[in-house]
Amino acid sequence: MKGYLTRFGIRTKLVALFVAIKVVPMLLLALLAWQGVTRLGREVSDRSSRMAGSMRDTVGELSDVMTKESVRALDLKSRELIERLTTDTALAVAEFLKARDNDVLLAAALEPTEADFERFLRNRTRALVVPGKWVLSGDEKSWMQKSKQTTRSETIEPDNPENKLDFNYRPPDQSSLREERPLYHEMTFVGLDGLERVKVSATELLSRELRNVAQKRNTYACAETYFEDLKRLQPGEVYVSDVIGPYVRSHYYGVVTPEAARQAKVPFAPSKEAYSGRENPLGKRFQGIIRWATPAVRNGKTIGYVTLALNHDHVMSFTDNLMPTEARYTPIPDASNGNYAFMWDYRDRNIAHPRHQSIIGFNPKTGDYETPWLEASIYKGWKQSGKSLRKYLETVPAFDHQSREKKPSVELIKEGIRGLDGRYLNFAPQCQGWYDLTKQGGSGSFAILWSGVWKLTTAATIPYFTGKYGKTPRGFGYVTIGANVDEFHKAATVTKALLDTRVNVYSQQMKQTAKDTHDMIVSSMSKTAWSLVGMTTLMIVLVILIAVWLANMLTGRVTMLSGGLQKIEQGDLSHRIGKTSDDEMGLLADSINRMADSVQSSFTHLEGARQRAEEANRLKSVFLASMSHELRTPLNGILGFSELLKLDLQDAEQRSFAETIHSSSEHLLNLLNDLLDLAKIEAGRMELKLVPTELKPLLVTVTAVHRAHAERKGLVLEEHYAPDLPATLLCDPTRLVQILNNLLNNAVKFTARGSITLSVECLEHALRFSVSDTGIGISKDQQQRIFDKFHQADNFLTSEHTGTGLGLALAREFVTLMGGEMGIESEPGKGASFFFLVPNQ
Amino acid sequence: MKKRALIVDDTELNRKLAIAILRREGWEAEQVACGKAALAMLREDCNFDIVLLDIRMPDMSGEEVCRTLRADPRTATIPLIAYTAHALEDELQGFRDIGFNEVLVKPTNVEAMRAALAKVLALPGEPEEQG
Repeated sequence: MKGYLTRFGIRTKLVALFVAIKVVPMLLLALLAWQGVTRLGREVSDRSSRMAGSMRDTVGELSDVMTKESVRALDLKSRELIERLTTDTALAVAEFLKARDNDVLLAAALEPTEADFERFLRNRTRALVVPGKWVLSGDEKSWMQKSKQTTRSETIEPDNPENKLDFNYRPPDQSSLREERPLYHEMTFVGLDGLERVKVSATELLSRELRNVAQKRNTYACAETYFEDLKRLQPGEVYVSDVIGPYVRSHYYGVVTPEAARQAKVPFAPSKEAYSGRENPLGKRFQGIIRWATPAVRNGKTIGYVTLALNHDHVMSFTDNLMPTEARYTPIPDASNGNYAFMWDYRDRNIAHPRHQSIIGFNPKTGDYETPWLEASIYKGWKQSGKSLRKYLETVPAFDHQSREKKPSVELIKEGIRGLDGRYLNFAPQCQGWYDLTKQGGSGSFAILWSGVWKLTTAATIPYFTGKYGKTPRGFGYVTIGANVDEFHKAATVTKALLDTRVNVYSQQMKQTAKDTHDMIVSSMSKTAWSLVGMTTLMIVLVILIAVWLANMLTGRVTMLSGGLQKIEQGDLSHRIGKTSDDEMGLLADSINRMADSVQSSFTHLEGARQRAEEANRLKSVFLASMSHELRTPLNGILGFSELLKLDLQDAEQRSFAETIHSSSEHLLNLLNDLLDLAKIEAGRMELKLVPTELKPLLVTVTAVHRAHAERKGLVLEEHYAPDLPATLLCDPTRLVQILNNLLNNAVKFTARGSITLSVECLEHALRFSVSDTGIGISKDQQQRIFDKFHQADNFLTSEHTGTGLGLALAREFVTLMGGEMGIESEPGKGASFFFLVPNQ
Repeated sequence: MKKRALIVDDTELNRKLAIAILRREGWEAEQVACGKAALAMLREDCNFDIVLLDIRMPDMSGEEVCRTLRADPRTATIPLIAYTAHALEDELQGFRDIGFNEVLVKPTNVEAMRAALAKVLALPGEPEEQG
């Protein structure tokens, strides 16, 4: 780490320091700010979208709740209204029927003459809505009234402003064409024998012949059986029959059109099918009668019976033109839209219906009821039983498990038979509902899903209890009104739709607002981010520039100092550092300059000394070389001639003189050679000849001479060579011999008693030569200087010891040149041991 | 017939010693005291078995004499021994390089003279021995 740090310059470190203490916190601050801004942005964005969502949900829920409540309230209100309409209608029917009781009782008091009967009937009329002319529409999908009533669509504004609020005007009903029609088809006087005595007909429906009504076949549709009942009547008692009329068939269920005819596979003949209100305005009407009768009593004695045959159209009119909708009334009943009223008798047989094929009627051929529209399994059971229908139905419980799941008999549909008898209409569960509502003579309603639409269906007992109608609380029967539930709360659903639209629009707006908010936040965030980045970058750049400037200012002076120092170091001693300030840097520059001054003066001094020394040394070398050369010539003569004399003189004494001369001059020559070597070394011209040298013969040769010298002094020369001594050594043999000679020579010279030991040891990379003696030894002080040139121990100056004083210095130079080293171990009086190492590679 | 040697040296002592040793060894020796004299003599009579040539001489150096002799076809093959007090090793090699056959270092002795002569006389046809 330390090494890593020291690798960079102060400038870099200063800049890095600035960056670390300024830039990093700045970046951290910028990062924190950015995080804060993004979190805030996200939070605000989230919350606004959550708020929008919850607002939307709340409004949606509120709308749902309100709608639900409204629907419920409207439904309840509508139910009340429709129930009331139903009971009012039932009551009106009952009143109407009751009035017929009065008619017949009044009629019984009349003289049974045609004239009186005619007079009686003449005023008995009632207005009926007539359907008018109807034709098939151009697309042949519906029927339309030919001569349309011109409806004045005028509105009336309130004259008094105080009535202005919710002033609702409804113009008179112009749509219904009404005609006065006789209430009764006929009025008869029947004798006690059953023969009709007087008969007045107001219409063409019934036969004008006077017949015996005791026989069924002489009655309407061969179905009347009233004479049997008349016989049991007490004076003042009134008989009222069931609704009697021939059944009218239809092969259609719905609008009678050529297309429907094709589907039903029957010829398109609307007039041959049952009248079905708007679905088939041209059809055959169900022509029913209800016969009233009462005994004609004269003087307390029944003389016969007066009968009135009510045109059933008048009963049907109570429900035919009712509409449980805003329209209130209709000129023509219409079952197709589901809003219509109809009537049932006390035995749940239909007696009034927009579709006349639904009204139970008789088969004039048998005088019996025509087969009603049976549920498939009942029809099947009947057919399998082989019984007459009446017999078979006696075995079938009424309202047996009625359910929408059950299906009507297809066979009867094909025959065009659809008369409704609630007791056996087991695929229409509402029949049982109506029964339940009216069995105690009451009224009410329930909702049921019918033909895919939720319907409110009501039932109200017709409180008319005359004759057989008084046997049960159900009276004459009951009025039912069916209404599409959706119609009731249409306002609420419209409101709901409006609300939904508003909610959607609102939520879209909220979404847009949330999106706008989000976009605004994002854009603001991005702006903030850019300004953060910009400011941070700017500040970082500024900080770095300041750091660089500061570092430059500081290090520039340091660099100037170090540059100046470097120049001085490189030899430009005259270089001085310019002083730029009085601070620590200036003081440092002053110090350096002062130091340079003293260095320069010392150096000048030293240089002179060195040059003088070098010159002296050179002169010495030249002198030595020259001296050596000059000395050689006389030496040459002395040595040469003394040798010749030594060889040639016969006289022993003379010869010994010559020998002395010769040996003295040899010593002189040695001295000269040593000086020469030294001169060479100092001149740097000494070169060694390193050759592989056989070690053992060299040692033998060297020791031979010195052993002789030693023995002459009474000393022992011992040799210790390592057993693993190499055979050859890379060295300069001449110089090695010279070194050994010098050391051994000295050892012999300075040892008076004892022994001299030459040993050679093997070290790891070198051979260690050592020459030890038991001589006078050398003091520590002497050891320091013993290798100096021209040095001799103090006692060297005594006559005993003669030497050049150059030997050891030379020896050490040679060892050094051979790459080794030389040293000494000694104590005065305990002998000395000189050693040197020669590398052995 | 005795072998002939010419000693060229400006120092009389050296000439005398060389002649004394050579004569003792059975040689016939003549002497001149300078390089020019040596050249003049050798141009007339080059019938010497060896020439001992000093290096440091006043009129012309032994090296000059050697180069002159080696440049002259008549004297190009005369065996030359540098007879010098220059004892430095590289100087000795330098003499051989300029044409000397052998170097004899002063001071000399009988032994050294014998060895040098033997070496030079064995020269023709024989490889030079070192040491």
